[in-house]
Amino acid sequence: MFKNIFTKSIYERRWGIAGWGVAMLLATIFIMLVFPVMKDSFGVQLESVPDSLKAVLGEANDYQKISGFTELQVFAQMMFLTIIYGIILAVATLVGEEKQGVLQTLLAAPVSRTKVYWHKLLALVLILTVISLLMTAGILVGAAILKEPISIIGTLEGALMQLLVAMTLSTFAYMVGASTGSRVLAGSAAGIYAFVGYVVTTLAPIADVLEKINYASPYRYFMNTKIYENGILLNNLIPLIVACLIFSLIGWRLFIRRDIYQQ
Amino acid sequence: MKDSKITVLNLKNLTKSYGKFRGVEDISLSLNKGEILGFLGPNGAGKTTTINMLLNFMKPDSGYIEIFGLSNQDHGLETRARIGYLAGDMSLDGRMTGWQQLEYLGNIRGVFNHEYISGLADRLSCDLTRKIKNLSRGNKQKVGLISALMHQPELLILDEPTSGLDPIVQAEFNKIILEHKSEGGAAFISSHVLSEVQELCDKVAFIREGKLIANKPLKDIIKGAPKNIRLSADDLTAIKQIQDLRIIKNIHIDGTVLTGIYDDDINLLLSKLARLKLDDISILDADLEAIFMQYYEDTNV
Repeated sequence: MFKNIFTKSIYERRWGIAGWGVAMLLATIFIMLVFPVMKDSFGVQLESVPDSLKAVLGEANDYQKISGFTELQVFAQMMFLTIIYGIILAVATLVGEEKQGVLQTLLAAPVSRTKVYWHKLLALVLILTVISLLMTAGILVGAAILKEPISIIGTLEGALMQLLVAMTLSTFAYMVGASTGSRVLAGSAAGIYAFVGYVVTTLAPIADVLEKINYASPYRYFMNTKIYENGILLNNLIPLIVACLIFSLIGWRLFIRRDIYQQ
Repeated sequence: MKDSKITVLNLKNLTKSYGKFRGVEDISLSLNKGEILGFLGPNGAGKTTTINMLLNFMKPDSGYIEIFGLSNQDHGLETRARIGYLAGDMSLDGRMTGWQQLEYLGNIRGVFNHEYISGLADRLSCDLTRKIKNLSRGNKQKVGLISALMHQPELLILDEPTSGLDPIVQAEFNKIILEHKSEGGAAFISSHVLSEVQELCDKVAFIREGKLIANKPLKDIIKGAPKNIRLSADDLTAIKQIQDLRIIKNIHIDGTVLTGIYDDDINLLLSKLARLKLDDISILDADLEAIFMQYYEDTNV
């Protein structure tokens, strides 16, 4: 496990991955088991809800099918756990180690900053992928317990899209941390982006003024896209991948140029 | 050219500032193969900033650094492969054992000699099976020291290396550094504990508020340095007479024993003392601490 920076980064997070992964799995199963109750009660109550709130909660019909429920409740809620974990890891991984001085110990060896940057980012991607797969397993197990048929492909597509949303925000945090050396700035900037993005995307359907700003929100490309019906659309997939790449590349260019020191 | 004259480290007009704050200014010094340089200064003088630039953690605003004749900016990987580095408060991954940490760094370096590392651990009485987070500061420092030495580097860069080490381990550390030197290795040791480097260094550079205020062979610094004087007499009259001569500075009298510092021609002192009736006299080289303070007083305008 100590062959290179990538495997070591995975190894040192093993307990975090296990804890967070099990929590994701169990929480997902638990939310799935709530489906029969939500189907009977929540769907009816939504009939009388104003359109503005429906933009947030979804349509009543969506709650009559497990796929609609999964998209609106499971992905929407569990996505935030992936995002929170992603931002925590992104901040702790590079800039956190810099503040502890561990990064300097590594960089005193003949290893390039480029290698350090990308190995740690790849480890972050793998960890979030594992977490997302455990959430996927939770959805499938929950559906199996309820004896409700659910598309495995659709679930995997949903998991991929929520992973990309989480990766967009995580790479943003990673970029800010790598380029500034500030944990506080990285964490708070990513947190603000995550929160404001969510508000913008949920309100955009009822507020025209937010329509253009909504393009900058990662949630726009996943929330309310009816993933089980439509599958992954390229015009939703590509912006998230491009955003991840741009944030990663900017972070890398600035990281290899700046001074590194313990404040 | 003799082996010992090969320059392994060359800093030329190195300047670095942090916005409005001073880092270091116009630092120039060199270190040859087989030499040990003590880089001395109080906290905040610019020692760590200089080391950070040596290791490419920071880029200088102006000036350049050559290590083994190569620019450390352009050949960072090559130069760092031949350097061993130890920070004063070495930060290691607390979740790993000492062995795991060393294996990891060894794999990164492409050099991991289990037998050699075991030998170093034995010499430093270092238990590598325990997790780093469970180690005392001194024991963490030992693991850091092994990580600096384990690939048998040609140049050691040590930033306050013996902080936290007990005197026995410190003595073993000194032996290891002197062995490194005898094998042709060089070392750049920063410290504010002057006695730490006195036993080891061939050259000493003093840094103050980011500027180099002296850079000389240790023997030259000691040669021109004030002497510590200790005189004892049977009665206070002789002690009073010595005091009245006003040639010994910083006089301290304890009963019939006088101590002080003398920084003039030693023959003049002896001729003056010859007229007095003394019990005992000792004239010792000042330690580096006193020399250091003198440099600071002289430049503190």
